Amino acid sequence: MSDPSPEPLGDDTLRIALPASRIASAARALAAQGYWEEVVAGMAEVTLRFDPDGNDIDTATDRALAALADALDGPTVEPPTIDLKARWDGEAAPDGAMVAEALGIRPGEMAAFWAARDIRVSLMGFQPGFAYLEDRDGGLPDIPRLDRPRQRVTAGSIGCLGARLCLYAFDGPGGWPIIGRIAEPLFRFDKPDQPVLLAIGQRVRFVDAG
Amino acid sequence: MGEPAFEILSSALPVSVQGAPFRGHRHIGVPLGGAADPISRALANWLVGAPAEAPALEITLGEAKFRALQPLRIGLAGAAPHILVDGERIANGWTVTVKEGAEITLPATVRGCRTYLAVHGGIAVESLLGGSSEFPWPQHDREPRREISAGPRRPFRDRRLPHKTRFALGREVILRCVVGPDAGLLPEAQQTGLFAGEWLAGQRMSRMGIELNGETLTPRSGATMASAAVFPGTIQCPPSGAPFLLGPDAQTTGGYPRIAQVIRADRHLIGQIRPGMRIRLIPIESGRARDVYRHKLMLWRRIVPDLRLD
Repeated sequence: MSDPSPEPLGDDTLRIALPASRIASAARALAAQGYWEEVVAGMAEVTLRFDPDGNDIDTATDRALAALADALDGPTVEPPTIDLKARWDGEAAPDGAMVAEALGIRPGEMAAFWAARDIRVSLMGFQPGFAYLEDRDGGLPDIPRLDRPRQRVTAGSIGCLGARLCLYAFDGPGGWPIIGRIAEPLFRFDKPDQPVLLAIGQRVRFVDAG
Repeated sequence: MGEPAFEILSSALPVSVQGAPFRGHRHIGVPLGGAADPISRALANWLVGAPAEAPALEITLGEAKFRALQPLRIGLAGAAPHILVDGERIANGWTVTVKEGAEITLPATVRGCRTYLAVHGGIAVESLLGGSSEFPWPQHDREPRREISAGPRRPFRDRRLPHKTRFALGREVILRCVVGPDAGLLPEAQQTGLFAGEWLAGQRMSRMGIELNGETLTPRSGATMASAAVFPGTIQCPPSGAPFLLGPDAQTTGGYPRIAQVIRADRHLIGQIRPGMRIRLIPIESGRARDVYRHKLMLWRRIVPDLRLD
């Protein structure tokens, strides 16, 4: 790959475009430096924030490059796979039938279908604990967002746009078709050291909760 | 959690408690939060001898009424020029002593948007993820706050804010911006127009963001952009064509073109934008913006040494 080059994105922010496969390890190495105010992984970039009071842009850039040199040369370290029990029927899956049809399977086959896929966390963000997931097996059709977003999607709901999935951490509005629901909370206020369940790059295996 | 200090009798918009923001958690989707105008909040705290980021009440637009449940010393700063204590008008900028049972009225503000009310002894809140603010995401079905508790007090002499700290809130706000990474998706005339034109703060506004009304922008196919980091002060351009200026509680990632970014030195001004206010966006180069930030911080820290701007 070509060398990453941090580019300024405002007076206190740097952006580094990276291949998707390297984002998780780069973000971890950058966060481990303890230098950045924020290290935010995106789908195709990592964004860094620093305090310009006492830090100049050249120092910040050098710091970023140092972390990347280590992260990009080494092996990719993956967080452990997590099993998430999910329900795929009834009120947990208001759009299950529609999505099953688009996938060419019966609604009753959804649990087994998703249990067999290679699904990774591609991005954490939007709201606390919210996770964007990505199906790596490929070959899934694009499924459009709902014409009218729901006013209230239940926490734990699994949204599906085909190869792109998401997990809603809190009750709230949402426009993705909902195909199931996990029981485990994605964000816990009572666990300040580790409030989120998932990490970027992590493999998610859906297990049928029956 | 301390003795009840105030009862909120009424407020046009919800009153929140804003202390330290939730820094360093955007990677797990936690917005910054904290005072929308951290300078006014620091000045209110200064009046009662509290640290710059001590939790204070954030009152939006007004009117709001409180009852003191014990004798209190309070400090106010921000949009409201005065308060009424049992009907008596008191100009802001001083430490104010109120008796137990007194009714404190913050009138509806005419200029600016937010007023901060700090109390000697501090407001007791539980801290979470390094922050001591209202959690910037609607939580479950929590009841609105009705009662505010104060913490322990140390002896403290009344203060008066230096005159130079009373910056005037006008009908217009100038926000200096660096050009955003996706500005190139706008037609060239609009890239110039963004900084040449005048914008009006829309009615659609909250701590998450403010819609800007003016020329309708027409970005090229922004809909397919990959989600990327956004921050308070990021100006996005959604398909409606009305730019949206993100506030302190803004989401952490977004998929709309990022056409500009308000510089760090000027983001505290976002907290004082009220619906209908004129907004001018002025382009500035990022190296110059860092100088402006350092200079502004240095000046304010002469009065509030522990002030932080995010």
